[in-house]
Amino acid sequence: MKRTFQLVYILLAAAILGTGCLGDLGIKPQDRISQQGAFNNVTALNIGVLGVYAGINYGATQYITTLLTDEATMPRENNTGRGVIPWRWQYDPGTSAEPAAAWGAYYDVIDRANRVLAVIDQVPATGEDLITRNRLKAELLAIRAFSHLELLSYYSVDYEPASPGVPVMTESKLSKPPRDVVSKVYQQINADLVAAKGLFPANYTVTNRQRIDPLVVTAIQARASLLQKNFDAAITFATEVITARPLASAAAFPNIWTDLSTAEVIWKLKRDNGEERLGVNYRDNTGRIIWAPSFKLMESFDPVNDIRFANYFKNLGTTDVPRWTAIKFVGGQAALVNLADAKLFRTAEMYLIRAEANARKATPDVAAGAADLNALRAARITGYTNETFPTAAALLDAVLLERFKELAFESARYVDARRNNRQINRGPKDVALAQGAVDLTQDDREYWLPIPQAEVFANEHIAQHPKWLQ
Amino acid sequence: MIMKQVLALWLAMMACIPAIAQDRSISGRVTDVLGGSPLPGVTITIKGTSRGTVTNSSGEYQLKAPANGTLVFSFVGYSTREVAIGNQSTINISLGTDEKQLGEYVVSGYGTTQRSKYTGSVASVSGEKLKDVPAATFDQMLQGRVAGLYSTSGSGQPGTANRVVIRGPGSISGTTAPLYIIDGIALEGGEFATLNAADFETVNVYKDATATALYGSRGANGVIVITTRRGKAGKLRLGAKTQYGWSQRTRPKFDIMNIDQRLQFEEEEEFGVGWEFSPKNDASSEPDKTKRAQILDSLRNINTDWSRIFLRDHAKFQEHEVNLSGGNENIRFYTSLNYFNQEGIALRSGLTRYSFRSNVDFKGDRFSGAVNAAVGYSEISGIENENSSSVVNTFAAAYYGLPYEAPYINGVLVHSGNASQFGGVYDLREGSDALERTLNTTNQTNKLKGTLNMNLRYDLLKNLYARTTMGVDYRQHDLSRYINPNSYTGSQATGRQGSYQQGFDKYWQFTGNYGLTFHENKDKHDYEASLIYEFIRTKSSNSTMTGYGINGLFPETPAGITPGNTTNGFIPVLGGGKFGTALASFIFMGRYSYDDRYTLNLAFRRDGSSTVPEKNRWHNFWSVGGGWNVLKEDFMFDATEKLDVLRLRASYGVSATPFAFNSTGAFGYMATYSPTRYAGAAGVVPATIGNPEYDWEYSKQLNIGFDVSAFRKRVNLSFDWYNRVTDNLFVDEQLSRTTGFTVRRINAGSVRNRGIDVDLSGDILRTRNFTLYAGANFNYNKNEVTNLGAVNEFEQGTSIIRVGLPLGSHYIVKWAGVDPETGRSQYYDREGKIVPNAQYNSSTMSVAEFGTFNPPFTGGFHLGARWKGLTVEALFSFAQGFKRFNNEDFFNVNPSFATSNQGTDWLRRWRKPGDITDIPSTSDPRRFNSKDIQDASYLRFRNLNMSYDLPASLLERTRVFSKVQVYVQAQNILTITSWKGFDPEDNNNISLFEYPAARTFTAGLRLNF
Repeated sequence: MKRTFQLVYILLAAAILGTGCLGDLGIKPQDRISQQGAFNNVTALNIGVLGVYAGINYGATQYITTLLTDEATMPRENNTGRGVIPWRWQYDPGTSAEPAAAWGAYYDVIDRANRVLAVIDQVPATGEDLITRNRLKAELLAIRAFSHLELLSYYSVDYEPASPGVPVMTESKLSKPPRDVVSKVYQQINADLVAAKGLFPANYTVTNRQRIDPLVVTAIQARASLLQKNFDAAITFATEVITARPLASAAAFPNIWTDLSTAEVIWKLKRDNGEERLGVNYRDNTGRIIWAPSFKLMESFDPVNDIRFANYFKNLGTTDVPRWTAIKFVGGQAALVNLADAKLFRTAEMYLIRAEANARKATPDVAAGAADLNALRAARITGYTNETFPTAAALLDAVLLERFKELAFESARYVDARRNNRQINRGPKDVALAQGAVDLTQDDREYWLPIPQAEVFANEHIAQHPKWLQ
Repeated sequence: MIMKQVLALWLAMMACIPAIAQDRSISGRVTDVLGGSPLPGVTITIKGTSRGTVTNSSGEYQLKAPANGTLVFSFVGYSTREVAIGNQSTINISLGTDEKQLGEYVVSGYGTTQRSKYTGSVASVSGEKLKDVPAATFDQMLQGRVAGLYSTSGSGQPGTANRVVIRGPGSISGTTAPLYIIDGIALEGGEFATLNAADFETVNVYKDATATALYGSRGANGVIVITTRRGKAGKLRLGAKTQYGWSQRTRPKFDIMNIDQRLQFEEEEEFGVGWEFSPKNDASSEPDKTKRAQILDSLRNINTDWSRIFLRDHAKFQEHEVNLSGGNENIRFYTSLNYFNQEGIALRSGLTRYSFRSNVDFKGDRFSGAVNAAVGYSEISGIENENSSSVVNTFAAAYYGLPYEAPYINGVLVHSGNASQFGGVYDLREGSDALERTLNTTNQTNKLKGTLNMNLRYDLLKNLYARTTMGVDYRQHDLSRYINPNSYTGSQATGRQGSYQQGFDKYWQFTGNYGLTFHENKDKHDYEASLIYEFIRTKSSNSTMTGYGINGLFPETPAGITPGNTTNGFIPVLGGGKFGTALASFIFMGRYSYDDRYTLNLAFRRDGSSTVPEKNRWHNFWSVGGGWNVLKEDFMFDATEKLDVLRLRASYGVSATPFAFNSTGAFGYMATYSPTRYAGAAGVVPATIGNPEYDWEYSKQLNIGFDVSAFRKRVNLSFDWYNRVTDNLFVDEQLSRTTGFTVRRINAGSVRNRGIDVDLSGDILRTRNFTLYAGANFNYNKNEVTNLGAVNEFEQGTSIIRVGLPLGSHYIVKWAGVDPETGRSQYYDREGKIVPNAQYNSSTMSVAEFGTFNPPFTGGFHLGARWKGLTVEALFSFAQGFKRFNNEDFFNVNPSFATSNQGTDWLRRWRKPGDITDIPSTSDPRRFNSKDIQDASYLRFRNLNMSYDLPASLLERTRVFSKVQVYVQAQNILTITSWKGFDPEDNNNISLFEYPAARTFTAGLRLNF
């Protein structure tokens, strides 16, 4: 009997010990938080919105534009292999990361924005908080519109309203969306931008330009309108921005690139140590030049009188053995070389949008377009004398050349070619290592960025660009 | 009938009536069969009782035993012998060290079972096989030792863990590594560099459901159970060991260009100095042809062999050990100290380890137990950017550096940072820059590991005892990385003045189990049943800081960091995280044997885990096993003359694959946000997409096998057939990127591993003084994905997971040779039509015709001979029928990287129409294609060991030594393979300038006092 009791005690002790430990199974993560109920006040919402900003990857569009166009040439010292396959137009939808980067980056941003937008209206807010909540919502809508605009610019089949565009995402969900037609993407971009504008407080301005304010929305509208060939709207929006934020003076211009000045900057993404370094694709941190500015680009400048030349390019070698490098994104801190803020919108682009719209609208206004082009050149070139243009076509050519120069390495050249149905032609001095990649025409599949293969595998509803199916 | 037995059992348990018989006095001496030296500490028990004694220091014993009894002589490491007493009063016997016998008992984490009553498939590796191998991690020593265990090294860096897979990979996304148990507590996998394998008594590898179900949600990949050495009662035994040696590289076969080939290549392709100063170049910057010839001549004299600069010819090795053991019947101890120092063959790499272990066993009337404590500390120095195509990877730089690149001018290293001071150089300084980085940086990991555990047993009744095991496995990594501020590498750091990084990574695992065991051996019935509750808790945390602006006066210490401010660019980077898991389990273990003939093993386990959502949190695992000792049957009586063992076994059960031990593995079911920042302010971003249906991967395994021993155990054969099906397999469902994620883990697929394990060993020749023995183990495993849920396949870069194919299948565009007319590569499209290079499209042309990187045939064999005190043993291992992606060729024969040194393959490139060759012209872009998928099958002569034991007669005269052994060995002697890269053996599918395994020679001396 005694032993039986002993046994019972032991069993009881084991049971108590056991149940005592069982409570510990509800371990919660410490490095992460559950998405459920993550945003329950306006402060938390702001943290969510900052996460959306953090996702915008300027380098993705900047780098593929540089690689696919005539902006850059391959120096012999690029022994890293980085970007060589896209630059030689030898890429396909599956093997190279660079053509796919913007697709992933901007859909991530849209998804992040949609996750916050899904709950933002339920976050209790009154008074100041309500104003802040509305502003945050406006920022999210504007980012969503901007991201759709970028995706459409790079990955749609073309920009005609009835053509296949890119999927429009207005909520975060598991789905396999097909391409929406271009006009539907335009509609969503325009609607988001209009809605955003209405939610900002009156006269709201972000002085450090690192977040979106109403003027940024107008600038996005200007760019979006030009893509939609809505030239009058483009002129109106561009004018609004130009009036509010004039071009940088010749003295302030260099400081834009060192981030000491926000002159003519409409929106830029702040870049801190540990984040993307936009200069590394041109010259890496070991000092090796990866992608050099093309001779075609450099030779289009007046190297003496054009202040852009010295701010964009530098010869690290000698006159006999030159080593030209692009310094636009080297940044202003010697200790943090290649770390520079991503300038997404500048006033110069607004001048060029207005000039292009004036040249391309149904009844071209060559004089007005020329005036904008001359105004921009006068701001950049010492002793510049105004140029006149005989035809709208001549003006358009000059505007596109000016965009090539002014917006070099700022994610413009590739979309410029597609918008205006132009070939990509590299200069004779730039193709020594190109293995024949000299001219890229609209008949070549590599002219058209494909839907990344991973997307095609995952999403059977999305149609690859027809050029890639031939 | 059954009722009667149960009743008898209960009666026996309650009554505990001891058998009374006439005892007689017996004495004798136990000696070593080898050399005849006395064996102190041998346990002698009277079979069927707990009575017994232990031999004294002269190997002598005395006890009283019944005349109808049998004495059992057992000694760890030696074969157990039984002798019927009969009318003898003196019984002198000798015991042999036969590692085959070690398997007589099998030790699982929850108890010990006689092998003949165990129905599972288990293989044992004796500590004798592990103790002298000059490798820092014991998983390397398992290579070629166990049928069905495939252990491969991914790096020759001393201290790197192997990839260990038992009976093929059963998971795509989860871990495929087995569970490790040491002295009853869970041991973190892959962290063995600080454990001294010489302390291991046995390593048991459990492969089938009998054992794996017992470990439930952690067991599906097999279980490796380590038991450490124990002290033996008797006189104090002091042992000492020392060994010295060196390592060298195995295949100094660098099929890259030498200086003449390089200059010729440049001249022909019209680039580089070979063209610049060529007499054929009319546009040369040097118009004087004589000067050009002089320049080329002086370049020819350089002819740098970069492999000689980055690799050591004689990387030193040494190991020293002292161990002490002893005790009496009530308290025994074993303690050891070990120092291990191994230089790697690459400049700067190496490992130094200090390890300590102390095991104490105690035994009272009813109370017994053990306390085991081990602490190890190791310092590991690594190379730069291993396993990458980066030019600063030592093993890539050894390929990339040009032969006309001279690293030193007048003793000064000329790199990209100072080349202009020397008037410039003709090359890109790829070798010198890598060398500069190697010399001005450190990459140090200091590891501290401690395992502490306690086993207690209390005999409540004669047949019932309570037991508990509690223990902690603790591991800490202290990582440091210094970049010299006054170097070219330091000038590339943030802040341009070097950096110092310090990181801590901690792991803590508590295992506690508490149970009751009932056992009864009466008449022909042998029962054992245990109920156990177990709780396992893990915690892990890590932190890292990187500071900049190093004060050169204070190198390699955080004290040298300059605090950052808004202008100096020295703002430090900080990071880290923490997570944990918990597992609670109820375990039932049962065994019943009838007459030593029929055995039934049962296991049931209910696991609750924090790693799955609450709805799937608790799950049952179970197994049933049956065994039949055929030889015990009456009709086999005649066969016993020749056969010693004939046993059939079968088992079936369910276990699960554990999740990867990281914060994604721990909380993979949850949709979460993780922290980020923008413009200096805190933000959050979606981190995991979550899956509320998240569940374990269940593995069901059927195992059927037999064991045969014949001719007095001269021939031993084990054979197992198994079929392991993993269901509920995690499949990374590919997501449209519009969801914000690329994949979501869902339980959808099935994968099957089916195959055989064969283990054959025996003595070919056995005479009084001479034994020739051999053994072989072999595994054939057929791995196949049988189901992927909603899809049939998904691509993973150059691999594919497809229903009907094995895991790890290559998926790439098939190469169709060089077009003799154009010199361009051609490829096959999926219809088998040849298309030109310009139409290459990996997404529409890739095919899966090139096999897998998981070898279906693996195994090893050994051959040994013993003559008196001299023993020679050779071990071979092999893996056959698999292919790997040789990414080294992609860089070494690629026009895009022609500024780096290139392979000699270029010498046979296409030059003019009509040339028939497999190397295209240099204007043909290189793409990923099947040319890079190469057969990596290999046969490796892994170890040769020769040892000599001084004869006992000589030792007895010294009165000091009980054993003196000298030995020499060689490790990784020869590899037969058609693989073109550094090393066919690797832990993954792709070869990317990895650190190859070294060849090591050592000589050692072992003394026992």
